[in-house]
Amino acid sequence: MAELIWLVPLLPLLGVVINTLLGLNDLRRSRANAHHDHGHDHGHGHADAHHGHGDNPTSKRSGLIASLMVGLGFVLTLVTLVELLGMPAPTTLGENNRWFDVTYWNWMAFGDLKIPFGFLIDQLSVTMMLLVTGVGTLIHLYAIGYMSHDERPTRFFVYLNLFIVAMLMLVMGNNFVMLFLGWEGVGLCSFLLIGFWFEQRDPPWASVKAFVTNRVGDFGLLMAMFAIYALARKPDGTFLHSLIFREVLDQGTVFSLQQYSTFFMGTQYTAAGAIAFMLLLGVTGKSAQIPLFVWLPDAMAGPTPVSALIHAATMVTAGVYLMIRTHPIFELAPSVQSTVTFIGVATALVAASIALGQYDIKKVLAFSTVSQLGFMVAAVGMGAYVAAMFHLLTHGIFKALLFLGSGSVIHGFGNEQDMRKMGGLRKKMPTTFWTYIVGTMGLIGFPLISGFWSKDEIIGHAFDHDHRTVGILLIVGAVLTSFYMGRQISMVFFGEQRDQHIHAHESSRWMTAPLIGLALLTLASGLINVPGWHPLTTWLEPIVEEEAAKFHLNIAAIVTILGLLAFAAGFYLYNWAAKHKRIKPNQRDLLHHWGGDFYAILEEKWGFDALYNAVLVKPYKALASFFGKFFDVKIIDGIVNGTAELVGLSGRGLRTFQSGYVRSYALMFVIGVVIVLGFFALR
Amino acid sequence: MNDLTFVTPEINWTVLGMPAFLMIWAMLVLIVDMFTSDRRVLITLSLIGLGVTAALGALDYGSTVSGFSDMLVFDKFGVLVNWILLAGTALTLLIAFDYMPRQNLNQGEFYPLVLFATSGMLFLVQATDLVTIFIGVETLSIALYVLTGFAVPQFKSGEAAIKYLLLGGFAAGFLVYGIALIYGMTGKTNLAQIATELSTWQSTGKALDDPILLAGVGFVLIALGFKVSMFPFHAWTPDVYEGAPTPVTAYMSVATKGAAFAAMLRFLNVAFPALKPEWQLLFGLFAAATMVYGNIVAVAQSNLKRMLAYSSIAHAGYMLLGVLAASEKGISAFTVYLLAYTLTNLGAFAVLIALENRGMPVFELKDLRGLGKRSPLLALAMTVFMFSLAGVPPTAGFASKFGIFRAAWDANLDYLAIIGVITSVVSAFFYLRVIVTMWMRDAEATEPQPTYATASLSLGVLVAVIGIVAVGIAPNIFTDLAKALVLTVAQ
Repeated sequence: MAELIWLVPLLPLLGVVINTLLGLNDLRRSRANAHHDHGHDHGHGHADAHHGHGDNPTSKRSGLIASLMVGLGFVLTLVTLVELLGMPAPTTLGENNRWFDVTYWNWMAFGDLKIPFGFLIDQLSVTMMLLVTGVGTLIHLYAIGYMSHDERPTRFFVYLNLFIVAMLMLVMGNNFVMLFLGWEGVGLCSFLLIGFWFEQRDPPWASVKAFVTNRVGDFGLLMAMFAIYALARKPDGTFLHSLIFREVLDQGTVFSLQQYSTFFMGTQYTAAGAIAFMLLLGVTGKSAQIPLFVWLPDAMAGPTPVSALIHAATMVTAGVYLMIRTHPIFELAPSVQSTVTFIGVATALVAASIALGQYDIKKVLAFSTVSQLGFMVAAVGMGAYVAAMFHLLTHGIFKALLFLGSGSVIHGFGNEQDMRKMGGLRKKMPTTFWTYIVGTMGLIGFPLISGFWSKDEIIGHAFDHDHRTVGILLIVGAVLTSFYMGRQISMVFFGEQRDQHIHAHESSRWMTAPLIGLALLTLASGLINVPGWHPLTTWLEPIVEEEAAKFHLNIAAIVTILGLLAFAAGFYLYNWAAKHKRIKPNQRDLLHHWGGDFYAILEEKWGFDALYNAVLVKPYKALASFFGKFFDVKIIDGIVNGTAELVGLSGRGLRTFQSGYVRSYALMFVIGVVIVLGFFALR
Repeated sequence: MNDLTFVTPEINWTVLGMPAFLMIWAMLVLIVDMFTSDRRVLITLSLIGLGVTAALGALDYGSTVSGFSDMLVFDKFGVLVNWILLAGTALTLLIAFDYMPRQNLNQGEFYPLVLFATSGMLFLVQATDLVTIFIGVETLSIALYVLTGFAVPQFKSGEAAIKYLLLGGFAAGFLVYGIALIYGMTGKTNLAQIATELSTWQSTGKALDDPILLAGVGFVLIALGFKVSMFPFHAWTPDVYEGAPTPVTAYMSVATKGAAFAAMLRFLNVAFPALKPEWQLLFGLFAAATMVYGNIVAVAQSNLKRMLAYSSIAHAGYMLLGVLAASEKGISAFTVYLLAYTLTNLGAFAVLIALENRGMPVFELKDLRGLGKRSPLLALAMTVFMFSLAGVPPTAGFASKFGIFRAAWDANLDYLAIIGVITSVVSAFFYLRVIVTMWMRDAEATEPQPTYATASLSLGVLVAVIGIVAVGIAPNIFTDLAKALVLTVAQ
């Protein structure tokens, strides 16, 4: 399999090519039709897309091709997993022989810096690949149904496949530049996917916001790469000048990062600290942490739950992956580790509280995602890599289930996302309802189901390793989580439907089948690292060098009981409110009545958007308009146009030499000869 | 000299294989042409011939053999350049295939003539003796004179052929004169032996900057500079490029340059390394002038063929940097540049061919208006070619320019590298203008012109685009191939 691993990213790339060609062909045909009989072909070529009527047959065709490519990748990854398992298990701590590193060609070479195009396949990257291709396949299948009424399903599947390619590059690359290639690639695809329905008002802005915010984080990653290149040394003190993971993260090299320090703004940092800090900036961008989390909720406001999900379940995990991959650097910078933990906890709490104040079914899930990512980041900061990875996997599955479920609700509820208009949908959409319940159980940590184990492992680690405050705050986060999920379940599925104009119906089988599949996976996913057996710890141990976490019955019991109580509180409170007609479209939440301005803060997302608008966006726009309307037009263009005119003038002047007469050409020739002879004669 | 026995030359087929096979094959095609007028047969045969010739190079690739009293050599550099030339020729045939009948130029002699010219070029690339250099130059030139005038019904074609012939003859005179002067001073025509002779001069204290020797070197370089359209010996280029049938222009703009530059490389590096300071300075000035002149005058062109003609002058200047760097890096950068430029320029001309109607006298920039809407794929390909010519990543044009400028910088020709970068910026103006015209200007209200993106032409364009993107994305594959192309110094 090692020889065929390149097929995993290549297959979706092939899907991109095939679907692009098919799409071009469709376009040509529809043009030809439009040319032949005007007016007949109104279904195609119209901008107003997703409210189009009837099924678009290209959705099934393109979707099946795209899904097949990702699905085959999943199978290949499974085979690779089996092969890695077949390699001899490490016998001593710190030894790892279950990996292979293949370099295909020398991608770039600048001076002594060589960037290979190659893959590092080890326990960590295979785990990520399984998540990306596995969940990816289900998303693709689901999208066949979801995009069936859309105008441009083929284009959508091209973007989806491209996203998978980029994500695979990110987790498979054997050096920082390959990782960066994927990192930027998913950034581009997220821009394309969020803004997919660009005719509407919000998606284009959301896509720009996501892209720009991510660029801020990318800056950090780039600086970290530069710093690694500039600072990393071999054990013998000479410069390493490499960006290959296995060389950079070698123990001796990493250790050198601690020995050399640098001054920045009057403070002394070790090289490791500086690099880790810049990496952290990259992580806050891609994994939607404070202060850069603002893009993810807006990305959800973008149109498709499918693209929303592909961010929530896969793309945002890139930051967590990056931190686990580079954990030796973080471990040498304890102050940065504390910062990581702090950011994670703060994000977990802030995002969970904001989720209380949202009315949009997807936005609740979006902030829930930000909050859960906070759990993972906090875990990484504490050194609980396995727990973070475990939660990443279980979350990837149950959050996928919840997002697809919300998509099914929206799809079957006339594209309406406001929970205040819903209610009582459990009777209309039984499959969606039951699978949604399973996803919720996973998220709130219902005993023995996925989130129960993974969340508990993080919290347990906090108490075990003297991070008591962190542990308590995370428990608060978990309680908030249960509450807003209780609120959501009640508002969406129970009571009476509040907007009676909408005809609700269950979604098609293309959409419900992945829901059922994911529900089963959610039920089983706790086994990935169940205490007592903990296969994930054994599997990742050679990379993270971490012992198996202990299971704390008392902590688990406290978290579970508090969580279930909070869930019940949210659920019954809103059931009561619904019964007494206290929930109405366009009316503020019940909690606002009691909580007043504090609740308004939650609704306003703690004012992050407003703050950034006032402090960054507005001055930036003012500056841009100064440069755009004055400086560029008057000064730069003046210089450029002046130069261009000069060049054009001299060009026209020189052109007169081109008379067309052979004799004058020969004369020029002779002048040249005279110059040559004169040059030699006069030396 | 005392013993007047006739020495039968020993024929070394490894050395002679590529040019000789192609020459013989061209004659075969010529004979077949007498019996059939089916151009499909002719192009198939020609392409097979090119393929077999390329395969001959692969047989002994890596080894260095010289033969015919060291007048010809078979080495890595020669084979690599020959492959690029063969690829260029094949692309030329593909893009010409439907164009020639459309322009009523369906004479079958076109194919053997192109093959004759190519075989002359292969010969020139492998030449390591002043005499063989002369033979190579003449072989390719004579075929090209005929090809230039191939569109006889059109006045411009005939005019171009006459101009090219007259000025070409003029340049050939300088070539022979230069050879005679060098022979007169050193008593040798073999490049390596000239170098040995000069080193004995050095050891005996004889001055190297002998005016007659220098004049000889200058004249040979002038003649080769004429072939690559180096300023100020370029004057024929715009007129000839405009008058010749478009595929022939495309062919000349890449293949002739490649062969002549290869000969120049050997001439300077094998025979006259001792005079390096002299020729580096003088021809550095010419290179600078060529880059500046070609790019600036191209700005003022509204005719696309003339614009590409001046652009090809400018690119000759860039390639000259690789030659003048006279280093391993320079040679490898030159080879990659030649590959990139061959693919790009042939592609750009292919797009023009797809748009050229019968009897259309001039081809103006404004004719491209609205092409992005009319045939987006063609416009997309043209965009790639223009980006590559301008040197925008991730195209081959960027990677190859980067290599050339770096080689020049490392060879202490930093002023040339700087001029190269600045003129590249200027060049972006007229390349991007093409892109803007295609995508952002709407066609005039007149009846849209048809496009002729036939199967063979599309294949050519596709190959060019794929090649450009491949070289652009992974330039190191090709630089690695071209790396360590140590020039063979035959004894």
